[in-house]
Amino acid sequence: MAVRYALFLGCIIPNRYPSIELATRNVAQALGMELVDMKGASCCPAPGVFKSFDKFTWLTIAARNLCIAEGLGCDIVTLCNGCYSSLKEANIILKEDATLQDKVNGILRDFNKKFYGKVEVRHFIEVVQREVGIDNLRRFVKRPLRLNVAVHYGCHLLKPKRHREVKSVERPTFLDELVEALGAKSISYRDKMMCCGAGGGVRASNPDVALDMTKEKLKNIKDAGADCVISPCAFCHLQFDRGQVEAGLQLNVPILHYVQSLGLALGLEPEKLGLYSHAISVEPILKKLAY
Amino acid sequence: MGLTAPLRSDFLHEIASVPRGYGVLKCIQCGRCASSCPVARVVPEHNPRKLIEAIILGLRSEVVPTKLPWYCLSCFTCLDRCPQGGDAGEVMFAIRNVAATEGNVPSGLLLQVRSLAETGRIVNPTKIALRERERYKLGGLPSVDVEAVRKVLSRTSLVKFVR
Repeated sequence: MAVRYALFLGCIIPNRYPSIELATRNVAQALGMELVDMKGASCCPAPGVFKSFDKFTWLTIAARNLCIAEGLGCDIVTLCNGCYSSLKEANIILKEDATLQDKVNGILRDFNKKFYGKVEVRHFIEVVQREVGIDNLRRFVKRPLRLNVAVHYGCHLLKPKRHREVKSVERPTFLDELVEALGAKSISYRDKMMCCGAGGGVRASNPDVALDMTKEKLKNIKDAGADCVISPCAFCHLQFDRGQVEAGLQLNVPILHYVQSLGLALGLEPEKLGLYSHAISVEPILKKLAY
Repeated sequence: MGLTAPLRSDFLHEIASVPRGYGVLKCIQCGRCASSCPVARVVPEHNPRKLIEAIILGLRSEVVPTKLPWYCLSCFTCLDRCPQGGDAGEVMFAIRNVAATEGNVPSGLLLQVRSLAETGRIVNPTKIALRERERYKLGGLPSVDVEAVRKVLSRTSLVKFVR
């Protein structure tokens, strides 16, 4: 797989979960994918926070990040639904609206940047679908992930549908298929499509409300008998993992980012996937997988 | 709800003129947004249909200075389900934009805006994260061009929040 992507790490991964960055770099290497660092990139910026103030500022900060990938000549890959949402939507809006593009470029000109609309923004999940493919993925699996998994998509992987390319927003299956391709069983649970609680700036503005949502979601997951949650989003990952500690929940539901579960299935050692850096220990699932 | 309020209020047009706020004009008050809203389950007073009704009726003080629009998770379930293409989720952002110009912003979000101006990021490293980076041999933190971010902020309306 000779492919090259600009890696957009965002804020949460390098500053809260370096474990996910480690897993990403090791999994990419195992798959033969080249990741190029986006030197100088800032916060995406967080859609729920910055769109709340002023959409033009949100758009311009995002455009500057897009320009960095354009300079590198490769499409962007993200591992956070929030970064995906901001960068993907800003990219679409700027490509479609020449007036806004001119206005944004008027500001970017100050530091010799210009948005051309030359790259695409992809989620890591889409990259796996496109570059590996589900059938091929099964062939990569060395250690099947024999676990009962609660799959959590996260809102912004899917919505709003006018800016996404998914077949079904209400009942999607692609992530369940990617999880099952690793040898796991995706179990059904109540309110599967519910938000983790963190989005829209709510984690920062009303943390108690965010944690109430998280608690309900995790209780449903625990009741369904899941061994763990697999999510493709660093922000949902943070909310589920740290949220259990912050809310004082005694549920002990381990959380894996999809890239970490993929790494396990590829046969990478847990230490190479940062699996000992979670707030909620993943030891029970490692034990079940005979590590 | 005042029955004498004008049906096409100035406030309605104020919200409709915010980028992507125009969806408010399409609302038929069917309530699908409210019944789809996950946060309404834990915060019953957050009801997107009622918020939009208050906008239509011009009841500015029942919308802008309140906490209600700030409970929206921007999950966009309402936006995708709206039979009118009315973008309730985007209307929540339009209300927030108006509230922000008046300084009505939750302090948690203000801190994140200031952080963007100071470090170019809204999440800054914990000691544990720095230790992990070292242990995992990931090198230092990714470089951020903070000066460029500040330049963007200085040219847009966010500048007043970062002084």
